[in-house]
Amino acid sequence: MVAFSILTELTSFLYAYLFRAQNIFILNSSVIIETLLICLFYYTIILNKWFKIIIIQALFFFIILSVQQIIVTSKGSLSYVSLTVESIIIVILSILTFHDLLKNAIYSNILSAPVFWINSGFLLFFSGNLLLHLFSHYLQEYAEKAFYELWGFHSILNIILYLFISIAFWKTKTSRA
Amino acid sequence: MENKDITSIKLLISVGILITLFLAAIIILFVVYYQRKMLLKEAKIKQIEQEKQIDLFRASVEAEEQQKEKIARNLHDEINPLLAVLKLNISKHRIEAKKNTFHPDSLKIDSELLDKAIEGIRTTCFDLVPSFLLQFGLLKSLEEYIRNVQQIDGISAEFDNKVPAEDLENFNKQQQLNMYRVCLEILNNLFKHSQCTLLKMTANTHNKVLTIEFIHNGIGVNNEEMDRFTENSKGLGLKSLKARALILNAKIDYKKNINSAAIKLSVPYSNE
Repeated sequence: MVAFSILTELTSFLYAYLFRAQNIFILNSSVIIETLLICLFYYTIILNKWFKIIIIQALFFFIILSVQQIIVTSKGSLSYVSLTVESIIIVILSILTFHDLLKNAIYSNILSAPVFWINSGFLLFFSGNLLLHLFSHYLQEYAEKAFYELWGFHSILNIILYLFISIAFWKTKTSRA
Repeated sequence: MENKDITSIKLLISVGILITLFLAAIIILFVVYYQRKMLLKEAKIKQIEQEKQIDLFRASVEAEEQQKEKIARNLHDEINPLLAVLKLNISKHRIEAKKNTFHPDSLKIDSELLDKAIEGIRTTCFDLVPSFLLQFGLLKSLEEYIRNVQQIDGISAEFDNKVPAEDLENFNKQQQLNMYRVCLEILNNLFKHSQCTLLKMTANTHNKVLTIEFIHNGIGVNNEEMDRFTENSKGLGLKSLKARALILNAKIDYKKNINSAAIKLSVPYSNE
């Protein structure tokens, strides 16, 4: 996930810098791959087979919707429908994962489980961004200044997400040690 | 769009985002709290289970001590006086022999005393480890016991043994002795409390499980009632029964109907 995020940022920056062209399509495509990777993560860690089926169905629905959105939306704008649906899917999956973690009680101390930190990070990030994504298109059209001001939330949530992922990495290291 | 409108939309979305974040944080905190609570609950259940195990172990140790006390009492109160009297008689006979007043008929009493002592020792030995069990195994011993019960208590009892001899060989002597004691405790409880007049015992093996079933026409109990009796019982019988069943990894199932009741003892075994 982290490697993919770096790669996306780097590619979009280089593309815009070198070709002096719109790089939005890279970000729109990256949403699909990002969701795919997160769903793969949840598919691996969730034990309940019904939840696994929900993940596959949600992913299938999301890919169709996102491809349709890439085709429909103009090249110059981000697909906020895809981003909103992605946020809803990940929020639901993270809550299901918490349910799965509590029901199966694999960890004696949940705070030392890397999965808990990654899942918490996703829950905070995507639930926080949900409203932002939902109103982004409207804000960009009618109040662009307000949009850029509110986008600060996205950056803060990004910091929180990667902080939580870092804690997860640290916990993996300590649990192995 | 007016500046005022933009500010209120901004405020609205910001508050919305903060509320969503707050809810997400509550979910995360709830998960942590609930998991801690679950762990505490699990630890408490484990502790109760451990206490129960200790209780059962204590009961089995106490039962063993009682058994030893009973044997000591038998030896001291029954056999010891007999042998003491016999010793006195022998001394008396020696004096009589010296005085030439000894009459061989007086040995008859000594012989009776010896018979009683032998019988007493035999009973005590049977209490320690039934010799019949060592010689012929569990099921034959149970058959013998049932036959005795029939003769003494007048209960109409039968024992249908369908266990092949080679299946019984999967149990060592200690296990068979434990099973024998469990069966005896069940039978004693039946005769004491159920007021039954008919008893049918069956024994068979299926899927590496030896099953001995006691079907009778007396007052029965179900599993819940039996658990309650065991919990509240001040005596050692029921607790040692449970302890022995635990050692054997056995299951005792109690069932009752209107006219009959059954107790099923299932003991698993492996061929290794």
